Amino acid sequence: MGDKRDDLDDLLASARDAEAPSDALIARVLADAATVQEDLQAPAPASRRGWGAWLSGIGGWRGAGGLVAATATGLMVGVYAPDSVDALLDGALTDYGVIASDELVSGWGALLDLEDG
Amino acid sequence: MDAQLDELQDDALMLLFAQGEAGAARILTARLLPRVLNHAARVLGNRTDAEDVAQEAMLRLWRAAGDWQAGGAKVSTWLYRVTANLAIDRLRRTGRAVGLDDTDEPADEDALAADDRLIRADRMAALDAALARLPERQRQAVVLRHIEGVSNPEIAEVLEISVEAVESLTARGKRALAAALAGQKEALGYG
Repeated sequence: MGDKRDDLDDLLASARDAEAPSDALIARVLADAATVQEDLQAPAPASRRGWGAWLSGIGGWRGAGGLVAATATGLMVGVYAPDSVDALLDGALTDYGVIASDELVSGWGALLDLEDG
Repeated sequence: MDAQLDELQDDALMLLFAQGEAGAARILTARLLPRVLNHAARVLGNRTDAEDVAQEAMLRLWRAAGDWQAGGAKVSTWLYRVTANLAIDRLRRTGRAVGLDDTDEPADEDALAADDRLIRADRMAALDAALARLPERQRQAVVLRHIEGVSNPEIAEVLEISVEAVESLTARGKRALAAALAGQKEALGYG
């Protein structure tokens, strides 16, 4: 039994160096390494900064156009008082009860009058 | 330059590899590829499959270099784990192969007489046949412990089991190997 165990140990030990990589395998492994190394060394695409990043974030020029239009509309609504908006909409806001006539401020002109007064 | 690199630990070489040092790949390949190939060959019992697994394991090592943490996982342990998993995947996909391909060649074939090479090839074929009869995990543990000389705690990390489980696997595996090889003493050249 003792011999058998020694023989098995010998056999296992002889298996330790049984497989030498062939030159072809080594070449394939080093070729893989070179490819991966190139990828690791390749500069990452420069991230957009400043206006470029901002523009990209809102969806490019098309998104910027939409944003400008929405901003202009909001500004117009803010500048013209609700009565003017209501007038523009042919009194639709009043008709639907969204606003009452006595809630209306006289708008831009009234503001100027107040300043004059 | 390679001689200087050869003095470095594996994890330092991984970092140098990630920084573009080509010599690091050569040293790591020289150190690790034979162990990976040997492990895969003993577990799979097939040289061609073992080469495929070894190449894939090394490829995963290169890809891991960019994120490698120095002082973290031991490179060889990590690589053995990858190899063990790839080998198990291959075994399950192809079924258990028994015996080595005839393409198997010893490392120092020029120094060995033809008879010695035959005896050695016969021994490896007998060992592979016996190993192939072991359950997968037992086979992995026996190869790592008794052929690769990996410590039990490291095998526990590779196979993600306890050290006690490793001891049990290797003890049972070695007993099973001894039983499988009993009666082949003369055939193996030990008579």
